[in-house]
Amino acid sequence: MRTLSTLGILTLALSIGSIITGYADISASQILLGLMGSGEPAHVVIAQELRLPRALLAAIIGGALGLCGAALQGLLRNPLAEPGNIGVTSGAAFGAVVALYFGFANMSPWALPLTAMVGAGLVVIFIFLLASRESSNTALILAGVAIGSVATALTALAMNLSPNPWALSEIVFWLMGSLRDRSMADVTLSLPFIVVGMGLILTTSRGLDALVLGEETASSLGINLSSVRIRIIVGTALAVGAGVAVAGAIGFIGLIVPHLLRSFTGYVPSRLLLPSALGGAALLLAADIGVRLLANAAGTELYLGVLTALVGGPFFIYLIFKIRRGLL
Amino acid sequence: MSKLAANEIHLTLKGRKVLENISLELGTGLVGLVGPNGAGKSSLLRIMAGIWSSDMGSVVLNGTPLYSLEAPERARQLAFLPPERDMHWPLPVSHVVSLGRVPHRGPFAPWSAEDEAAVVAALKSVDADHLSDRSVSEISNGERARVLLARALAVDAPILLVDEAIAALDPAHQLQVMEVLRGEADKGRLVLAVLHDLGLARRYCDEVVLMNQGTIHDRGPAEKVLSAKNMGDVYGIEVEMGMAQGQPYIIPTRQIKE
Repeated sequence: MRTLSTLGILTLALSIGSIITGYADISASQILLGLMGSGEPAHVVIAQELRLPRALLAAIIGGALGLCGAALQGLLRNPLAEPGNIGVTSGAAFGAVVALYFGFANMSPWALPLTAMVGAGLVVIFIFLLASRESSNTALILAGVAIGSVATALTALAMNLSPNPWALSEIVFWLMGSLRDRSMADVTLSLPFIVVGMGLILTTSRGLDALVLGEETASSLGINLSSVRIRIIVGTALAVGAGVAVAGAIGFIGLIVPHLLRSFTGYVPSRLLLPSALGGAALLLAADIGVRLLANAAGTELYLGVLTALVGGPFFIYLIFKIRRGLL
Repeated sequence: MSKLAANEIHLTLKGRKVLENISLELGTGLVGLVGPNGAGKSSLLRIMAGIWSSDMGSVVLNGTPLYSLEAPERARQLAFLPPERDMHWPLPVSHVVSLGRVPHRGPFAPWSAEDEAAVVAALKSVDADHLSDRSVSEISNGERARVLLARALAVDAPILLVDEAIAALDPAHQLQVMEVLRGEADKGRLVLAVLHDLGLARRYCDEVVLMNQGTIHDRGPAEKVLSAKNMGDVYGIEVEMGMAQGQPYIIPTRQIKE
């Protein structure tokens, strides 16, 4: 409970921090007044239409990535699994790119999140099919890395083939992710799917707990494993797919957050879920504040995925060594 | 009293016939399931636990086919303990044992006094109550085996199915686990245990089911089934049997070469 409330307060504080951070030279109090709808009209617009959606998206997408990471690690009983390194976010990005550059996105605004979710879903299903045959953690992660690379290559290929003249710069957006210039429309587009997906994942907590004893014991305890798997597959596809559709592929959130919080939750998979969602929200909010502070100093805004990979990559290697020494 | 019956079970895995027309009716007591590696003991145990399905045949619990039972109801009747003792996270021992209560609790049911009592009793019966606050990653192999047995006991099911519960345990812990299983059977429960130690099977089991190549070779009282002839026919070994300090023993002395 204390972990949850601490993380809740942290997320709230970082949300406010995110709203008062930006490129326009406006004081914190002016922005917060603008957020309430009072103060100068320009401040109201900046606060409500630029800063607020950005903070909201960072929180919900970070939350989705953190939760999915915790659920995938619980289900696969593998501390290295997360939507990014098993290829799910790359699959979603490829789905989104297909919708964008082959015209589906013009037919309906929902086409983009939809194809992203399909892309994410296909990758998760593939990973689970593989996990059911191959129990080795390493093989699973390696396969995920391979699928991720293929999806990334297909994304780049699709953009090279598309007639869009800005394709090259946009490849980077889909591969690295960013929350720049997002609007309330993006929140409306992604929020329903993320909420449903996260809700679905939260219903699997008992199954995840029983799974620490292995699949056979979990099933002997009356857990319907196929139902748990399907809920996590669909939940991850919805939450990660919708997130990637508006923010691109941001990696490592789902790896770092559950690992940092696991010992505070007694290593119990179900107790890790909500804290990981809040922790993911906090981490992505912090990263998004970070890229803007760096941009104020350096002049150009880094992609979010660059920052999360710079922190997450070394962290991943550290985890591998920790596992090799039998500490996990 | 519970009755668990397998009727004409057939199972083929990867083209190999694992179980062929197995019928087995069990009441109460400690029943040892013995036989050479690959005889189909573990497969039969999993089918009788309802976690594997057979190609043909059915398992019937007190007159009801297992497949028609709701999973939690089946789980409250049949507790299962696999041979694997890997734990994926360094969880507290008390939490691991409390997972035995999963079938008794609704998705958001609070932890009840009854749940707590079952966990405490289970830990006590395997003599592991002092471990309850330790992490499963820091206790010894033998302690972990007992904790996992306690997890199965916490289900408080009338039927307990255990697969190689004493494998890789030192002699003292082997005796301790056998005593616990014996105690469960004496409470009027059915304990079906896959065993490799013929001496312990002879000494502790009310009944022994001897399997060979996917069929039941013989079944009956331990002293009848674990005969020199059966050991020769099924394992291809010669044995030395006798009594020492009032306890029966069986020692494999050599392989019979064709």
